[in-house]
Amino acid sequence: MPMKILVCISAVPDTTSKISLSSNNFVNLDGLTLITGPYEDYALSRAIEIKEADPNNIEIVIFHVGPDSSEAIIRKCLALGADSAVRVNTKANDSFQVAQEIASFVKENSFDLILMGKESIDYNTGLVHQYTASLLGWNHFSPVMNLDVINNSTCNIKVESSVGTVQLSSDLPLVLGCQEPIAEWKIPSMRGIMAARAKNIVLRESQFDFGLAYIKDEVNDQKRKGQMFQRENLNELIEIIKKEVRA
Amino acid sequence: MKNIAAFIDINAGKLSSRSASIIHLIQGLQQINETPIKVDLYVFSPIDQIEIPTVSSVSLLEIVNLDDSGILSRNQIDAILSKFNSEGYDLLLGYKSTFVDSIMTRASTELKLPLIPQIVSIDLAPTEMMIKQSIFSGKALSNLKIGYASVLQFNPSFEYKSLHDSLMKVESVKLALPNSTSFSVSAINKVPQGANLADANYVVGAGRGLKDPSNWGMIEELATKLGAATACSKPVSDINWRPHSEHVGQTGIKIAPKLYIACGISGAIQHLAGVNGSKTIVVINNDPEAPFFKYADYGVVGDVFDVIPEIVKNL
Ligand SMILES: Cc1cc2nc3c(=O)[nH]c(=O)nc-3n(C[C@H](O)[C@H](O)[C@H](O)COP(=O)(O)OP(=O)(O)OC[C@H]3O[C@@H](n4cnc5c(N)ncnc54)[C@H](O)[C@@H]3O)c2cc1C
Repeated sequence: MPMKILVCISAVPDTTSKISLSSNNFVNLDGLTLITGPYEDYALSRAIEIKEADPNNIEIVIFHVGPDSSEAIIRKCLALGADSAVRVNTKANDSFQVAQEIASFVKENSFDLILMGKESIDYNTGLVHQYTASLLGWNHFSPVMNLDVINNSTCNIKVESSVGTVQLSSDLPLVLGCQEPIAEWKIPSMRGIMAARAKNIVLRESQFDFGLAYIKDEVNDQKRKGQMFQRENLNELIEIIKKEVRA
Repeated sequence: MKNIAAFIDINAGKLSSRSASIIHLIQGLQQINETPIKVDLYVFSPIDQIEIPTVSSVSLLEIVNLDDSGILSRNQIDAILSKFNSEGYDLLLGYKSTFVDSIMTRASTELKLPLIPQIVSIDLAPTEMMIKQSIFSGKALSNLKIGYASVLQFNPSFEYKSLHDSLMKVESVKLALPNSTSFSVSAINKVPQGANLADANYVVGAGRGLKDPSNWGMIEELATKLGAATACSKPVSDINWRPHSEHVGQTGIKIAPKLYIACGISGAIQHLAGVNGSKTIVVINNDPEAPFFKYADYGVVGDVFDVIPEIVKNL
């Protein structure tokens, strides 16, 4: 039996994007360049390394919740070496919704290992892997810095914890949130890009509603004082620092 | 709401400032509620007694028998959840950490309460709350109206002012977890737990401009003088000049101190994403064009090797 790895990816605006609102007062992502979340890039890169070591026994499926504007990102994951992809055709609104979509897909199509980033860089909640593990009742670790799969049954993992870093082993199935230096980011090859064109992106209807009453967004344009000091006047700055610390 | 569980944490033997805000919020909840509210405070570090802002009907539960690895295993989360189920909490409050995340997500699914992360402010009304959440690394905020039955997780910049000045002492009751059974640990590499960065009032950060890890002495000296935690930029931790746990930014810890002093850091947008919750930012950089100056309250164009020792000498 081949081992099946599900890699869940987010599509996020590049960090350097300027955030603006549309006329309905919610953040407007139209026209922003979307990228795969950098942590998901780490997760996928590690999955690909694992597959490269044993190509016939490992299957990688990409899972994404998002509208068709994410197709280019999914194609790139396929070009990097994932075998196929599933896209749930709806807007990703919150961590619980996304985790429910993942868990229901995994219950229908058995997987051994679910990898994703430790957090997406748009909402930074880092909760999707936690929720997924609790919905499936699987073991869960995050942020994972090192991952080796042994005999397609156990994982050796290095993870950051509240005391430092921990080396441990845990049996599959597992849900892992990944971070550097778990793998080197990969660049798709010409051959990979060609091969990706023939790979399948399965569309899936969304099954879970989102019930929270959001009213509006606002852009947080913080104004800083921007007061500069010459080296000769450093004393004035030192006085300000003293005051800040005493306040 | 009538039955609240809140996660609190300790920083240098005292209630952390982020946890103090959570207890101030409970004071606010008790004030608007007509019927009494029962409050259980959960803490993960050894503590017999602690001073907290005054609230009524409060118990302190210290979770004991945590694994040396600092990881909560699945069977331990099960044990905490069965306690939560039997208490029937209808409002959960807490800061962000891997421990708290794993309990809150489970509790949110089992107790069927929506989890609202990254909260920066709350307004309490009789039947509902107005919540602001930080999104896109603090570049924007979203506004949400929600009833009280929920799980609320706070961003480091969340602040809630106390309603009374008085403090009270609470003694802890131990809540022992079963031994961890879900995984086997082969090695633990402990890092010294310095001042808690996410909760620090003052932070001194340094970047590649420091040139060499051996130059961090003056950064540590400055931090010690200010009672500050130390932080660094991502490349500095990537090349192992400083531990990964000090890395702040979009891909590292998010900080929200009263004062952040950034030394020899260029101010890349990914760095700013982790520090823009700081009240006051001081930037020291020898390049007048460094982008960080645009996001500074106070800036000095100067050499860190000259400016920092001068500040240390005169503090
Ligand atoms: C996906 C992604 C995520 C990232 N996440 C993060 C993150 O979370 N946190 C983070 O910090 N970065 C992050 N980065 C990296 C970020 O883009 C910058 O590369 C990084 O912040 C730069 O670090 P630095 O300021 O220490 O180094 P540099 O950019 O090299 O800047 C060094 C600065 O020191 C100044 N300097 C040099 N010598 C002196 C001197 N003698 N006295 C005074 N000043 C001096 C220079 O003028 C310069 O401004 C991320 C990048 C990517 C692509």
